[in-house]
Order: sequence, then C-alpha cells, then structure tokens
Amino acid sequence: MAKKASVTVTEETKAADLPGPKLNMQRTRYEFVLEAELPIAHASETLGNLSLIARKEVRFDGGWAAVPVVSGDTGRHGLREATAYAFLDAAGLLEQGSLSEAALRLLFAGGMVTGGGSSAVSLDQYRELVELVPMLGLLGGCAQNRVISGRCNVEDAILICEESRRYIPQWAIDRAIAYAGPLDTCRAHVEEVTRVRMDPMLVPEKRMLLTSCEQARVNERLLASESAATSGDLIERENTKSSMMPRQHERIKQGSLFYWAAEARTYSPLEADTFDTACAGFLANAIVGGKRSTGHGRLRAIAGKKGELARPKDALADIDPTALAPKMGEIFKSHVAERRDRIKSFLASVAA
Amino acid sequence: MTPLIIRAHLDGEVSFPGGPPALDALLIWAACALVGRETARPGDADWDDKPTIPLAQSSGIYLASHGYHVPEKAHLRYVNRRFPLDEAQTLGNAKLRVVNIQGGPCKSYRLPSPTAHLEGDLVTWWAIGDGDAVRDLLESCIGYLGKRRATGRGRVRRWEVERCTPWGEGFPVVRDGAPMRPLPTSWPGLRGRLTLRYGVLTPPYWEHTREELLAVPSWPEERPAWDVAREAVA
Repeated sequence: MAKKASVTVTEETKAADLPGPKLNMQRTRYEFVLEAELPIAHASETLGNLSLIARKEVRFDGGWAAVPVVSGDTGRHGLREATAYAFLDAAGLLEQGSLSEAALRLLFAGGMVTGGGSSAVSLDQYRELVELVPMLGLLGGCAQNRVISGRCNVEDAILICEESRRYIPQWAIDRAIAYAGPLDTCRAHVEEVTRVRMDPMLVPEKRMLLTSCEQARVNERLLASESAATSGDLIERENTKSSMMPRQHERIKQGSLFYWAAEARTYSPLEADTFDTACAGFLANAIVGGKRSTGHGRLRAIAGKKGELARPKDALADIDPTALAPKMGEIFKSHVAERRDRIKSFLASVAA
Repeated sequence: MTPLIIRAHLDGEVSFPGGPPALDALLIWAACALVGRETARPGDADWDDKPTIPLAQSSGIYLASHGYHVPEKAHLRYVNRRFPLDEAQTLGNAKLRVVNIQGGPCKSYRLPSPTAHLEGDLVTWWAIGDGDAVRDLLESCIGYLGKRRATGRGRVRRWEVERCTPWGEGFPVVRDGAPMRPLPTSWPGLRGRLTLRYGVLTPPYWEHTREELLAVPSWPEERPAWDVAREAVA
C-alpha cells in the first residue's frame, strides 16, 4: 500500500504559501513646456477691486522675485478631473445624472471623512476601493471614512522667465528660447486689464423696456444722481450712483510659456496607465484659473519629457505631448469597464 | 558602516511644520515604499517585519541626526477647496437638489499654509551607515520633503551622500554637547543648556502616544552654537 504523501509545514513553506502581490515600483516623471493659448487669470487675492494673479517667491540675483505660477493644486485638480471624466465615461455613467453628492465629492474633490472612523482599518476594504476607483490610489482621497494617501506630486507651473531660470531644466529653457525668443522678465508677461459690468439703466433703449412706473423711478434716480454730482453732495452721490461696476484684473499674457512637472509612484501597469490617462486627459483640454467664460485659461503643451526616476535614474526622454491622449488609458478604461456594475453600486452607497 | 554626511539640494520652498525631518524616518518610509507597504507602526501585526534600513543603531536609536536647515525667507501660501458645483449640476442624480457650500461636507475652504526657502536650499544630515545603500534608497524613493509634497513643495533636486570626518565625541547624534536628534536627557555627551520638549524617540515620529520628555535640537528656532562658531570661522 502506497504511503500517503505528507507535507511538513515549515516557516519556509508558510511564507511560500502566502506570496505578497508582485510589485514593480516605478517613479514616473512628466515634464512639459506649456504655452498660454489664451491669457491666464489664475488669481490669488484681490486688493480693492483689483484681482492679483498667483505668484511665488523665487531666488533671483541674490534677492527675491515674485514669479507668476499656476499652482500645483490647480494642476492636481486638473489631473483628478480628467481621470474622473475618463472613469465615468468608461463606467457608462456620463449618459445621465446618476451621481450622489458623496460620489461627486469623491471623484472631483477627493471626498472627505464624514463620520466616525473605526480604530480597525480594513485592508480588504482599502484594496477594494483602490480596485474600483483606481485614481484614489494615485491622487489620494477619503472614502468610507478612510483617508487614502496619494502617490502623485504635481508641481506649480512656473512662468519661464529670467527670474525663474535657475529652477527650470536646461532642455525646457532651450525649447522656450527656440520657440519664443530670448527670456524676458516676469513683469513683462503680466498685464492689467479693466472690465466693466454696464448698468442697463443708463441705456435709453433699455429703459424703454421698463414698466412706466419703473421708468419714472429710474429717471428720478438719474436726475438725483446728476444733481448730487453737480452739488458735490457725496452722501447723495453714493445713494444714487449707478450699478456700473468697473474692475481690474491682472492676467498672464497670451503666448507666455510655463514649465510644469508631475511625478507619480506606481506599482502596477494599471496605476501607471491611470497616471498616463490623467496627464493626457488634462493636457488634451487644459483650462486653468478664472474668467474661463470670457476667453481665459487655455494651456497647451508644446514639448514634453517622460522618464523613470527610480531605475534608471534621471533618464527623461522626449515625448510628443500632442499625441498622448489616443495612445493611453487602454488598461485603465478596460479595467473600469469590466467592473462597471460594481462601480455603480459602490458609488451609490459610498460615504465620502 | 561609515560616518556620512547627507545633503538634500532643494528646488525651492518647503514646509516643515512638524520640525526638522528625520533621516531614519525617511529611510524607513523609502524602504516601505519600495515594497508597496504603508509605513508600519509599533503595535501593528507586521511591525516586526518592518524593512531594515542601512543605519547603525545604539540603544535602539538610529545613529542619524535630524535634518539641519536654516530658514531664510518665510512665505504664506493657501490651500483651497471648492465643491464641484458645475459637475453637480450636470452629473448629480435627482436626489441632489441643494448643496450647502457654507457649512457641512461641501464647505469650501481656504487654509493658510506657511512655507520657507532655506539657506542655500539645503537640508543636511549626519549619520553612521552604509553610504551606497542610503543613497540608493533616497534617490529611488524620496523626491520631495516636508508637507504638501503632493502639490510640488519640497522637491529635492539632488541627493548627495558622502563619507565625512566625524566631529568627535557624540557623532552623529550629539555635537558640542547639544542633541542633533531627540535623545533621552541621560544620553552620554549631552551637557549645557538643553532644549527639552515632549517628543518621540524612534520612527514613526508622528505617533504622539509614545511621547516622552526628550532633549531635542534647538533649530530651526535657534541656531545651534556649533553652527554659529563654524560661521564665525568661515
């Protein structure tokens, strides 16, 4: 009779029974030279009725200079938004309004902790979250009252100018000079413009659209305003002034160039493709800052480099930034499409 | 294991609200990142399996200083968050009818976030360890230092790891009687006026439940005497 085979469980075989996931850590870095196709009105604050663009201090000639930037938060939000749309598209959720407030917050703003968390953190739940919403592992966020740290670093897009020269790689400086000529000072790239919201009551044809009662009231106010201006009565002038609103804003001139970089640590082809999808999606329609509805904010990449930093180090290769979108995102899209039904039920009940 | 000096050449502003960065913590984080693990904590089931790092230890403490840096110019930047109202209008379901952006989970915010440029854009550590392995870990995994790394702050342009000549007694954790990292007050070589503060002795340094009264480095609030003397000589 044949002896039944037996296996002695040793520490070695235990470890062999439970292999961890095969990991391939990559640090991928994208660098781009971006051109302002339209003026950029990325404001940081207002002084009176003047809106000031975002700047950051950099070392310059032994002193300091405030150089215009498009903040890293903006770039990061752009990546998040681009992946969110790609995600919803692949999951078939763009056809009709189907998202809850929490799902919107999770996909477009990273979510938030909305209740008391448990002291025990379920790693299975974390893995499921990252499996269903792959960009959460990359960009981070809060879902099911768990904070998920991101692995993506998005830098400020800094204006390419004399003052910022030392912070920008030589290849980007060379491309900028070849494309647009010698570098200028940052001041030369900023303009101030005035816009006015008109008071329709000042236009006689528009006043004719009012009811007769309203016409009489408006005419009375206009007369009172004129008489206050003649007499120099400041209080009366203030009380009867029109609602015309002139205001100024700074903006970065059309055609200015920026240097922008984003880096991510990824562990699987899916994560790497999610990062590619985010960058390609954002750059395919990069609009930043305010006043978008009045012809501001569009950026386009004119040159780019991509490299793996961890191994081999510092080897960035040229890429064609205009050809990013069609080639990327296949793994990401098929991963999401395969899990379409699970994603729908997850988003319907997510706490974020 | 050899005496090392490690320099991070930064690319601009950095935020260190929690004090100077610790080399041992950075290396443990890097070793965890390499294998795709979150940083382990004492008490976690896998704490004993935490990756080893190429630094010498004494009495359970890694022989590495905290990052020495001198802030040169401080700035205040802001972190903003806005609820995606545009998307809510187009993608929200029928139940999503009112969004309160003044309070509650959809509240918009604008938080101040202090940053600083450092003298020479430099953070320096001293340690006893395996130089090549330390360089490999740092270059492979650590591209940014401090807070708000996700938005590009604290970018490391270049790491420099070199053998150095120890300054003498206490290297690398005590210099001229002053601590170069949090140390128990009874640590040999500590003398003179010590800055005492509640702190954590071993990584992870953010785990406040393990705090105890320790002698801590005086920077960045106060320039240490050894650096003042060095500058005077220079």
